[in-house]
Amino acid sequence: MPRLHAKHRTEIRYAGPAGESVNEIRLTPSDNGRQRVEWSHVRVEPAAELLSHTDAFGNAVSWFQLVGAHELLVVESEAIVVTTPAPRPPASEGGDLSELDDPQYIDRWAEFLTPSAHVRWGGPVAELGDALELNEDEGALAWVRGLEAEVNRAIVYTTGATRVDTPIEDVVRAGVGVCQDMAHLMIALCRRRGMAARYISGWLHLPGIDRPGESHAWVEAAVPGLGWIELDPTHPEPAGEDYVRLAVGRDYTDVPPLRGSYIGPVTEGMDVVVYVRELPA
Amino acid sequence: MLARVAETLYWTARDLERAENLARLLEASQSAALEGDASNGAGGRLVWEPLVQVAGDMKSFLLTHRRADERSVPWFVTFGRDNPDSIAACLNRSRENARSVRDRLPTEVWEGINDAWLELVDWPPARITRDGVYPFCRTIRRSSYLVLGLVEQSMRRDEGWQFMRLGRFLERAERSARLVQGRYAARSDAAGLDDVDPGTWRAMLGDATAHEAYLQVDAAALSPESLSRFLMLDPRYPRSVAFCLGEVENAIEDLVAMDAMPPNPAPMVLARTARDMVETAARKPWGGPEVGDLLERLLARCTSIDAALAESCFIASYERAPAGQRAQASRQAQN
Amino acid sequence: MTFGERGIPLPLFTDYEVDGFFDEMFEGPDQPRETYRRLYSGLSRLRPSTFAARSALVDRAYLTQGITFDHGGREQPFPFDLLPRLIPADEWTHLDAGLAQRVRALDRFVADFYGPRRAVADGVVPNGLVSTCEGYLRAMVGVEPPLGRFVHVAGIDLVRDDDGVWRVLEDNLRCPSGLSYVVQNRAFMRRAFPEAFGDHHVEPVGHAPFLLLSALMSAAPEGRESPRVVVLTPGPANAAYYEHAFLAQQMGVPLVEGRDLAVRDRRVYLRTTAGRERVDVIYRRIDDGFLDPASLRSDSLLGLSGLMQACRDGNVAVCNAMGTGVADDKAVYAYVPDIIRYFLEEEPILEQVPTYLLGRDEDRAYVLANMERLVVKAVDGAGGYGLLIGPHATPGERQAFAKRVRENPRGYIAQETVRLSRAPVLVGERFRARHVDLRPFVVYGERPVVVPGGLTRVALRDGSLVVNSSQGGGSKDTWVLSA
Repeated sequence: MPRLHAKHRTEIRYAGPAGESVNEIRLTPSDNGRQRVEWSHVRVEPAAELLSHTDAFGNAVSWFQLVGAHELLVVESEAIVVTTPAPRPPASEGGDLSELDDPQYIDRWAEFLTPSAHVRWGGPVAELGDALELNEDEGALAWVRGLEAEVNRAIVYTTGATRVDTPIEDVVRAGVGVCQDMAHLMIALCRRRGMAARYISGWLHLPGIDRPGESHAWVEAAVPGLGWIELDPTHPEPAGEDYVRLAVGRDYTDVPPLRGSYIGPVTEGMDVVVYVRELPA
Repeated sequence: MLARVAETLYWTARDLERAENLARLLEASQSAALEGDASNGAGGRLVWEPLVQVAGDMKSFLLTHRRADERSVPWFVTFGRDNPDSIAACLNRSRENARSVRDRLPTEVWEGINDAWLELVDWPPARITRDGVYPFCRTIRRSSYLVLGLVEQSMRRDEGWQFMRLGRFLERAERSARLVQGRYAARSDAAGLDDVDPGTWRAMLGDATAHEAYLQVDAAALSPESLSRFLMLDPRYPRSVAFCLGEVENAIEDLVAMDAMPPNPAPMVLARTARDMVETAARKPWGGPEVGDLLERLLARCTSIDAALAESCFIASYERAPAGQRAQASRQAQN
Repeated sequence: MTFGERGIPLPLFTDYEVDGFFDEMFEGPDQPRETYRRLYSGLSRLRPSTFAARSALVDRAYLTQGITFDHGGREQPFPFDLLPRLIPADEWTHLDAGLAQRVRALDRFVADFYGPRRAVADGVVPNGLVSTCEGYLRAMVGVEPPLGRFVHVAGIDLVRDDDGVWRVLEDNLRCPSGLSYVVQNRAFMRRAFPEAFGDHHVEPVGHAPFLLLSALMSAAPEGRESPRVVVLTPGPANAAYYEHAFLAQQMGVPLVEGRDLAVRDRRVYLRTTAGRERVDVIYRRIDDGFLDPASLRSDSLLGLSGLMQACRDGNVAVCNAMGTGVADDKAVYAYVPDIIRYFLEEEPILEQVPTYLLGRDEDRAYVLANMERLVVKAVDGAGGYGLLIGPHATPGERQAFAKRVRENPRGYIAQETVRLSRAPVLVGERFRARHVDLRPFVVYGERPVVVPGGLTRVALRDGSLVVNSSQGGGSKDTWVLSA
């Protein structure tokens, strides 16, 4: 049960004075079955009062407004979180794929079964789905784990090839993307099959690797009989104690770390640095 | 009153006034260039350069034109694409602004401004080359006087009317001051102060009506000093700087009395000190380098009043309608 | 003897055909219904050309005053037919009660959906349906508007079937439009046809803007002494801008655009030349998503950054509140009778049009087998598009639509084709029967108040069932007759 200390710093530079800036931050971890938040703090520069609320998906949101002129905006979130590994039930547990047709399942998870801003499954996505040979006979859990591995194989992890708004069809056609794209693709193929799936944004601890840590996106699927199971098409290993959950939604549009609006010149640059390390127990 | 609406009305009036002033000065310059010293090759320095100074900026003019003469300057003033304050540009802006606050203007006033703008359509630049500058300027002036008349006759004296009054007279004050500044400098460089060219006076006064008004005041002395004093300080002539600044001050006072501006606003303080400057100058003998000095301070004051209005009153509401707003607005469902 | 009581024909109605539809005015050829007898006899005193001439005058008046609707980029007057549509007192009592009931229930439903969600938990409306509504605004979850009220102005579309039964066709709870026409139509009627008023006791509608203003003021957050109301418009480029300006002027409140407002300390202020003035209530005519570029659609150029947080803090009332679209969704419509029973514990007073939800297997099977008789409508934004009027469509069109339905059943509903009632409309110098509907407006302040009558919309083309203004419809003045 590691104690992870995470720090996420976003710096936005404007090409001149910007003002009338109103923003929402989704970078605060919450307690749940797999993690306990010992301490967390968000700050912004220039200084501003932060108002908190919980959004429709249960995510912790901080709202702030900067009226006066500024050329640099810094948003920093820091937390100490104690994580536990996610349960790894054997493939034989959980229900059958036929249970996805249960009207109660469909009704309950409808919003994670329908297309959303980044998640569609026409054209190239459908073709990819058809081309994958996934085992439907060994239960829903085995199926979705198989999908996890297949998506990992289908898309080559490549930074810089895609942007935040790259359509899913382009990701499939080019066969390259980052964790956000792979998560969207997996969610699309889950929903296409009738399995409810949602998007998780969070921090990833990379033990033993000489890198500070990462902002990461992975997936959660509603497996009949087991509930929401975390999966990661980017690193198909159990979403374990190295993962800190920040927010969950239908796709990226519901959980951007920072969103808002301002009046002023273009954004010249944006740098994000994430740092996650393990603290002594 | 809404800051945005006030600012829009202010600029509607200001741009219209600017267009009219330029048309009048262009017409006067044209006739001045045909006679006397100016027609003997000194037209550029005596007539056209000063007009550029009043109408815009010499530096930016020289970026696209080699020199100021009877071809380049009329073009620059009427339709010059390099001139953001050409007559065409001013009418365009005035009309766009009026349209966006159309429901705040009496129908006839809006229609008058729209018609003034529509005149531009009938005047492709080629026609000016062919028919000359006079018909065009006359048309512009007539349309703008029509609008002015409609404003006087049909607008209720509410905040909107006061802001239009403010814009119109601030613009006029500034324009008259720049006119004196340009001509005065031109004149005193040239032949001795006693040698006055009637053609250039007319250009300085701007038109025949001003000449007649001046003659009523001081027929005997026809000198740059007396002319400039008239244009700067005469309390009764509606184009004099003193008169216009008085109107600006009155408009601001009326707005404060209507609670449309906070008490003792910055623009009012600035307008009062401008008036003080003028009154002080009126009590002293007129002439010499003090005139140039006064002109500069008054022009600076006009700019400050405009800036103070933008900051305190119009609350600097950023850009006008950003690109794409109309399209988005038209798509809003009204179910 | 009462003129026109029994089969005395008038030239104005030569060749007028009732044709098996329910005609608002006539029981049979040249036989006006009792409600219309005095009107009919009044018409007998006018020459046909007089009536036509007065109509032309009204058209010109609309044009000169600039009361237009932007129809495909061109400003056109909204065609107005001079013959009023009459509703007798007893019929109106029934409609009035039914409309007030419906709006009360829908407001409760919306408040419950963004709050405790008891209706969903108790199985009144399926979660799957509401949570996938295009009008579901997630930012409103957990946000309570002042006094818990979401709906302040509603336009409920009613039709009459060929048995003369009034049915609700559709609810409009977001930015319902047309109230200005109700007021203006009446003003023009008074001038053009004054003698008709002498023969009838007509419930006035001129006070509608005042009713609206009262409702808006009562929506203000508690503790605000004289609440400041503004009308928020997308601007002059919007088709209904005339109405925004008219209502603002009639209510005596400022007409503003997003950039005239600013949020400071999570309160909304108006930028005036005398400084910032606090705003308590915003009557907004801008779509939900465009209201706050910081929290909602970031590409919006029309809204006000920070408005969402001001709402969350309870510092401003937005009317209608954001998120009301969950209740006027065409699929939720099928559940409204149950919603009324659940929240009000009353039986619904108004009938609806029988509706099939294509997401339901039995419904879908029935619809696909009977498409030539039904009207199939897209549910906004659930990926559907278009409208199919079965009896008027070609087999090819029906097939294409069936394909879309099979691919996206949640995106569509189907309804029995209602044979809409018809009313006489002046075509040239004679009256001809055209289909009509009725949009009454319900203004909900402390309690729901229905503006008497409403906008009668007319499909101007012979046989057409399409009445809305954006597609070339027209309107009539609607008279509720006092007892």
